[in-house]
Amino acid sequence: MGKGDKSGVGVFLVGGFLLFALGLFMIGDRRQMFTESIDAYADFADLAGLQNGATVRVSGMDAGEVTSIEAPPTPEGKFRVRFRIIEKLQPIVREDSVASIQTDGIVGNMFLQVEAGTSGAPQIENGRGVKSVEPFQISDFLDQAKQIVETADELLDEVKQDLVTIVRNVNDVAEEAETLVAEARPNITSMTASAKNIADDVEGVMNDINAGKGTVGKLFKDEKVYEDLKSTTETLKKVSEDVSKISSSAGEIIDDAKQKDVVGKVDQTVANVRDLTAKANDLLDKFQKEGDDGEPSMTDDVRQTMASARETMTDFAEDAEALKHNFLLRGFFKKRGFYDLNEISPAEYKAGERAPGYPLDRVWLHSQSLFDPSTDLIKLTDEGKRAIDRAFGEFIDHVKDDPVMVEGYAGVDNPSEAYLLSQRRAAAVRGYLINKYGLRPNYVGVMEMGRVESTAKDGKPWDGVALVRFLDKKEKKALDKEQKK
Amino acid sequence: MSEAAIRFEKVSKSFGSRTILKELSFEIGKGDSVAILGRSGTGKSVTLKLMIGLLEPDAGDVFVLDRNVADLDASGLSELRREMGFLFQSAALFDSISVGENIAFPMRRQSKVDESEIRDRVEELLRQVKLDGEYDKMPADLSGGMKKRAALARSLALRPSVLLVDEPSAGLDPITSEEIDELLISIGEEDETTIVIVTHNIPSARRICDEMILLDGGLIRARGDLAALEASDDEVVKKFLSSQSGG
Amino acid sequence: MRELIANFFDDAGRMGLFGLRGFRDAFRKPFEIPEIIVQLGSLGVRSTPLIALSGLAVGVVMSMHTRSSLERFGAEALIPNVLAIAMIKETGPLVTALLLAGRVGAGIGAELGGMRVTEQIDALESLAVDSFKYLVSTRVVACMIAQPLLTTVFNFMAISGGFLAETMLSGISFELYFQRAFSSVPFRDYIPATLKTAVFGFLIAAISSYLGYNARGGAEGVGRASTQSVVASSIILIIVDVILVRIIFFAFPEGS
Repeated sequence: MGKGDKSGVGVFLVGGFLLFALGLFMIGDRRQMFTESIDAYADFADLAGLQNGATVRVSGMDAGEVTSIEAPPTPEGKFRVRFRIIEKLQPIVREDSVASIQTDGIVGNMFLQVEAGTSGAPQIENGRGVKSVEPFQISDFLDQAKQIVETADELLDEVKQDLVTIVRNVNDVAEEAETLVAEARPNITSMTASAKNIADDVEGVMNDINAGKGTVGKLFKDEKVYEDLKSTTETLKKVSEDVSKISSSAGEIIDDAKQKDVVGKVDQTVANVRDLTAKANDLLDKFQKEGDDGEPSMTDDVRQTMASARETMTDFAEDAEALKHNFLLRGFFKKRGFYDLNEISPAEYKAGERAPGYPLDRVWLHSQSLFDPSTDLIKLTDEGKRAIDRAFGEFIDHVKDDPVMVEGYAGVDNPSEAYLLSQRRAAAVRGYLINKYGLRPNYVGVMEMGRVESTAKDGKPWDGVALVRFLDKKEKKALDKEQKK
Repeated sequence: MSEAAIRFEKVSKSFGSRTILKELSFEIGKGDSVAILGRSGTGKSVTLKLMIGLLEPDAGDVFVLDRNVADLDASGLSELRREMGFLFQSAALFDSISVGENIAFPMRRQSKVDESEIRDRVEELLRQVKLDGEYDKMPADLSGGMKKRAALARSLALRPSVLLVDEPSAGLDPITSEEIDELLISIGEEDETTIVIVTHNIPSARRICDEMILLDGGLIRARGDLAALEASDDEVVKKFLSSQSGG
Repeated sequence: MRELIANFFDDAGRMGLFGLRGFRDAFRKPFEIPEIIVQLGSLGVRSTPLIALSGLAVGVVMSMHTRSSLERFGAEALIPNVLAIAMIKETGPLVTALLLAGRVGAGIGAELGGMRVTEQIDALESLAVDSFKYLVSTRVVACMIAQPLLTTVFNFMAISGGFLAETMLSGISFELYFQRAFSSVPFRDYIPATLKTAVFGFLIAAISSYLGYNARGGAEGVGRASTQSVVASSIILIIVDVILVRIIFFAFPEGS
């Protein structure tokens, strides 16, 4: 045995061992084992095949691995998934960060995705938990969707009954009031001699009414009626939020939807909500006639709720419709030519990016003629409404298919005020348009332009609202051709 | 009775159904040179291997240097073997190491011996077996006779008091065979070593040994010097001697 | 047939006990450290070129095959992961063991067989050497040490081979390739799979030593011992591997 042999063996042993250790190190390094890290956890009812040692990603960056999975003690409990995150990423993981279980490509492993939190929430500390979203499973979703739709349906039925009753009550009260006034009038004329006394009496009656006595007084002053309406409004809001949730995920339902008759249910719900909306509108009109100086915020609430309910319903109906005909939603969106008018920021809009097609018309409506100058509330005057009707008349042939953007302008010096004001103005006009012409809310956008200097010499900034109609690409081409001829 | 170096007491040994030795008993005195003769398959080699514990008897006892071989534990057997040398029929040099290392091997296996001491002893042994300067040759490069001499040197390395030799002349021409015999004679004379040779070569046996034992059918057929054997009337002895007289 | 099966288990039992004794005796004084080093040289160091070259070749070929199937799914990015996990988990250990069964098993069978028929084993005994410990224990231990190291060499060469094949086609960088390769190999696949090859080493040494040490019948017997060593150790390796995979699966379940 020579010396060469011995050193050969030495190289073999040391080299082989180092190679093995290198493998250990590389595996450990990939798992961030040698980096300072903190422990956190998230709870899941369904693991969807997530395993111990699975990768953890924070906003897509490899950040550690799942260290343990604790089984729940009761059937209702959730699995507690504990994992490590490298310290470097601790600042972006907040207590409102959401963890979800996802798949790496079609054949890939399951991994735990943790989204960055919001800067308002506190940073995650060692050993604390983050929120979680259950892994998406189509069958679960369909069951859930069906359930929600059914609940919404029930709720709407209830609310409808309530509203109908309220509307009847209001009608009764109004009639009663009319009768009361009608009865009182002859007495007043006939007793002109003792007019003063009687007038005093009437005044007393009116005072009583104002103080909340009597039926009419009750209607306007009684807290209970107000509370009833308010709670109804809130219920409606909640329903619309529920429905909104469904419709946001509805795009993901695939053909099982038909089997479970989700679409049918949806149609029914939509019908219900429409019915309800119409009734509620009537009611509101009545209220406004009687004078809105009492509780203007309430009517605003109801109106907003109605608008949002309508919006969701339209979304939902549209999505469901799309589902019926076309499961590949791409085509559906393509036809629309844009995704969501609400997603477009003013900056993008001004820069022409993501603009919904090609503008055709821009009709100017000056703020003076539109809004009631006597109040700070953005209230459309009758004249203003007529002006809008006139302007919109030019669009009405096309507007069912094309998006309309309502641009708001305000000549106020303070830029943030200008934005707010312009936004409110545009929103008011948009609301009017949607209500009056039954437009699809997602086809009517609001664009707060803020303060925009005029190009004219007198230099006054623009002040008012502009209606803009957009074409999709196909229509634009056709139009261009026509013009060339 | 002179002090016995090796004593067999009713030793039996069989391989499967083939019985080799049947209650064999004999003694070999210290310092004696004895040849065990016999035809092939009569148990000559088995007898040798029993002496050094490579085989165990089925029955009976083998005493070597006053120790019962079968009763020894591993370390006792090792100790006994250190006092014995064994020259194998095929020399049995280790192929993977040089001639010198082969000879040095038993010494290296022993308690700490100085490297230079080992070197000196190997050189001495090489001179003794007339292989001076062949230290670094590999066994495969040696002739049959040289191998045998090298193996002899290895078996002598620890200065054994008992030397067992299996067929010293097997596979060698008469002249080479004689050279080996000379070496064995000189060892017997010099060191008072007990030598047991297994052979069927009578001239060789006569040259080296004072006494011969003729085995046949697992038993001692005759014992004595050559003259005594020649004088025997036994059929088997006569036949064996006559067949070998030419050799 | 029944006799055949009985013989098989009889032989397997003898070989097993023989090997276990070899392993046990290695820890009894006197330790044969120099001889273990010699054996590491002849079993380990001299097998390294064979193992390294085979690993490289297997890596290149496997990478190309993996690419052709993953390409269909557009999952080329997974090639390093798939290759590494395949190599480290099973292919590396088994192919290395089979190569060594060929090279080392035949070598031990022939060497010990030769020593048996030329009385070298008896000569060792006559020189007061425990031939079993000197010849068998040292080989068993050397094989058990060498096997995981050679497997590691094989794995790394195979992944390097995969890298060569892949970088020529897609120009992937060295760092990214190795990062990806090791990203989907958990410790529970790497460590047990590599260490289990010590059992393969034990089997190869035990089986071929048994056949060589007990060889009979001259040169022909030596040849037989050598051939049987390769055949027997290859078959038993594969059988034992199946069992080991199950054991490792139970000892390191996927989800834990």
